Amino acid sequence: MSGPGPATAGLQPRSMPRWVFVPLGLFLCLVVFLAVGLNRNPKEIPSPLIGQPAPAFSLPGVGGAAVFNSDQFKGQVSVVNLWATWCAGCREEHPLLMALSKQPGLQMVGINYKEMQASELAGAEPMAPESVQKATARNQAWLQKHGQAFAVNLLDMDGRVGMDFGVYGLPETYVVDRAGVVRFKHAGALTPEVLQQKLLPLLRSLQP
Amino acid sequence: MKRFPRLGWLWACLLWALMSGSVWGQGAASVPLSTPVSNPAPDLPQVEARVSARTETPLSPQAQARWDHIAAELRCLVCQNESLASSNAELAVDLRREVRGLIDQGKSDTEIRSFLVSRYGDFVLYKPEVKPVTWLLWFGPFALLLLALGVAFRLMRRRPAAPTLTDSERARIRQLLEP
Repeated sequence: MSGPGPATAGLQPRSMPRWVFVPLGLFLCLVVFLAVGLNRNPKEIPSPLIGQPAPAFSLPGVGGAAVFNSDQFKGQVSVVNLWATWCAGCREEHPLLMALSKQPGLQMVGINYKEMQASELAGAEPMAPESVQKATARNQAWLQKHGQAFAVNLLDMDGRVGMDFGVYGLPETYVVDRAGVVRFKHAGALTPEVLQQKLLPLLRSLQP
Repeated sequence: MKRFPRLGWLWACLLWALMSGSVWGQGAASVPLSTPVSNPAPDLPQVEARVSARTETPLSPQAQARWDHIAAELRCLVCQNESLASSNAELAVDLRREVRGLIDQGKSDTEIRSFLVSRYGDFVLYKPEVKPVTWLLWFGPFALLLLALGVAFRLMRRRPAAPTLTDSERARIRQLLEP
């Protein structure tokens, strides 16, 4: 083609303005957002409890042990584990809880959440003495077999305390600091990675 | 040379695709109404299909109306694609009992909702509240739509007008076309 003459001035290609690439940039942004969104685990629901005081409760200890009141969170760092003998993930993570229980200055609180499920109760009251008795026997046998990880071993028969913690599946693990404030939640079985990368550094930072 | 005006339409189409994609994408990322539940986690309380039928007593018509209104907007946390009203997961049964209790106590819808949100977060609501944290979710798609329309309009307006030719130019063209 010949060089631009005055006759073709109106048809001159302007140099491409920079904003032509703005949609491309937006599109790439979107791709990044969707890629991140698709790779997230929908089971990991952020807990509104983080940074809030632990829910107030008092539960009886298993086998006639003293009643535990949530005021007793104050003054020491606690690891609260919600579990049940019917939960497979709980068995899987138990060795890690055993290891944690050997750490000094840590209060290990196990809350046995709905040991008797509705299907087993068959309409009976969860708090009925025979239900509690059966749950106690199962709780003790299980801990005998897999290790006494919990200095404080509590029965939450009707699941009300679990509900206040916002439990939606077992196991779940919480860290409560010396002021009684929830600092961490992990839903699902603990793994060595979670322990090494999240839980232990947090526990170290909470110790005086 | 003449490619550029058409490029405008191309970008407009791409923007439209982007926009509709983002509206969908936002919905899917934040409110997964249809996220497929892959491999059910083994550590969740077992789903008991007949539990609800056995233990849940019917409500009074008035309470039932309120229940229908509230529960359909609440998500079951175990089976995330089900509403609290329809799920048979054990946790859903417990939460239903709790919400019924709150209805009986005469609590308002807002109080019932905040009971659940304080425990499970905004995640239990299919329609999260409009507040600074959720602004992007609620208004993001519309902001993007406006942006896209703005860009599209600019592109279309900038289409170069047909060139006006002088008489001598016309004569030259005629000369070129008619040998």
